[in-house]
Amino acid sequence: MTPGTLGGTFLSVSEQELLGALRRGDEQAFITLVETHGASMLGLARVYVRDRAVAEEVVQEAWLGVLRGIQRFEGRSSLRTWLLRIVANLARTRAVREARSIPFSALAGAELEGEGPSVPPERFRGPQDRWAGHWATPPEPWNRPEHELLSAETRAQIVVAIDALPERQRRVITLRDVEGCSAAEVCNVLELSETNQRVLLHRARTKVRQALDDYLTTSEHQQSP
Amino acid sequence: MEALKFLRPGRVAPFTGVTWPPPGQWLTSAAPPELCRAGVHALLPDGLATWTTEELWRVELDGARELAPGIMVAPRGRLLGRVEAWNDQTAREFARACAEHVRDHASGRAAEYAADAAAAAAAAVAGDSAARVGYIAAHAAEAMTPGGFAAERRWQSRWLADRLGLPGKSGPPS
Amino acid sequence: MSVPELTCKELVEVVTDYLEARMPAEQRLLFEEHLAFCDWCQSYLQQMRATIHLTGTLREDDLTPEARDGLLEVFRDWRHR
Repeated sequence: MTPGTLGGTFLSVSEQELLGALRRGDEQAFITLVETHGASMLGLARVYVRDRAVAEEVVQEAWLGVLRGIQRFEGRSSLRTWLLRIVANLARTRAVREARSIPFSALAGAELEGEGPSVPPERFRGPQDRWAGHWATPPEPWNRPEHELLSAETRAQIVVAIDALPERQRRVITLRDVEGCSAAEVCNVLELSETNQRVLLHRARTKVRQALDDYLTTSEHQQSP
Repeated sequence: MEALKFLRPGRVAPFTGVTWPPPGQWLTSAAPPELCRAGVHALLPDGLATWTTEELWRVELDGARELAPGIMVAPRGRLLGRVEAWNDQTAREFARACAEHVRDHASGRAAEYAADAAAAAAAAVAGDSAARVGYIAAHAAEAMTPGGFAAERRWQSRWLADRLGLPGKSGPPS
Repeated sequence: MSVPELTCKELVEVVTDYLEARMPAEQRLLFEEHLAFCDWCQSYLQQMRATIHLTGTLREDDLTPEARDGLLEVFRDWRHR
C-alpha cells in the first residue's frame, strides 16, 4: 500500500518525522505519541464512558485503529484531532452499548433550549428600580489562599458539579477546561458548531462556578487563617 | 502618539492582568488590533473619566487608531512615566467633584441618583472606587436631560485633565 | 435606557464570550466600561477565571503502567503482522 503523503499543513515537521518513523515500525515513535496524546485520549474516552477501565479499553482499541490507519493518514487534519476523533467514535459506540450514558441522538437540541438565565434573576434589581439589572445580592469575594483552592476538598466540589451537568455540557467543559482541548478541536470531535460549543461551555462553567461559590462562601468551610 | 493609561498597582493592566514592562520598553500585542481582545488600549484626555484605577501613566502608542471617542488602540505601546498628580487624594477630590456637580437642580429620579453619588463619594478611598462615583453622577445627569450621561462624562474628563495638568481638548466651561 | 451600557445581569450572560475573545469590539468596550466601576462584576469575572483554572488542575496526566504495557503489546502485535 502506498503511504499517503504527509504533506498537509496541519502537521509540524517533527510530527511528520514521528509519523514516518511510526510507519516504519519504530517503537520509540509510538511511545512518544502515546506519551504526548494518551492522557487526552483517555480523558475524552471518560467523557463518554465514566468507568476508567472501560475507557482504557476504548483507548487501546483506538490506538489499534490509529496503527491500522497510519498508512492512509495524510495530515489533512491535525494529528491530535485525528486521534481524538478516532477515540470519540469508538467511545460513543461503546457508551451506547454499555448503556451508561444517554444515546447521543436523544440529546439533540434539548440542552440548548429551555435553560433560563445563567444567574437567578432575583439576584439582580428589578426593572422598576433605578439601578435595574444591577446586582441586588452581589457575589462575595472568595478571598481564599491558593493552597485552599487547590485542596482535594475544593477540587472534589468541581468533580461533583461536572458530574451533575447535562451530558453535552459535561462533555464540552471536560474537553475544554479539564483536558485543555482547543475550541476548534472540541467542535471537530463533538461535531458542534462554534456557537453551540460556546453556549454549552458557558452554561457548564456558570454552574461549576456556582457550585464552588456555594461551597466557598458557607461559613463552616472557612478555615481560620 | 502620546496617550494615557490607567493601570492597577504594579503596572498591571486592569482587564487582562498583564504586567506592563518598565517605562521605555515596548509592549507588543500578539494579534492584530482589529480583533476584539488584542491591541494596546489607551485614552485621550476626553476619555479619561470612564476608566479610573490607582495608577495613571503617560504612554506612547505606535500605529494608533481611534476605536471610540477618546479611546485609542495600537499594536504596541510603551509607558513613558507616571502622572504623579493622580493619587488617592486627587481620586477622592474627583469623586467629590463628580457628586457635587449633579447635586443641584436634581429632582425626582435624578435626585435619587445624585444622593447615590454623594454616598459613593463619601465612601470612595482611591482611584478604583472613584470610578463608580463618576458613573452614578453621569446617570443623574441623564435623568435630568436626555444625552446628559455623555455630556457629564466629558465634563468629568475635562475636570480630570485640568486638575492633573494634562493637555486636553478645549471646550465651553459648564 | 438611552445610555448604551451593559448591566450586571447582561454581563454575566456574555462573560464566556469575553473570555473566549469572541466578543464584537463594541460590546467589549461596553463590557470593560462596566467592569471599570463595578467591583461586583469584577469579582464575578475573577471567580469565573479561578473556576476555569481550578478545573484545569483535575487533569490526570499519566497512564497507568498496566495501560502502557497493554499499548506496547498492541503495537508489537501490529508491527509483526
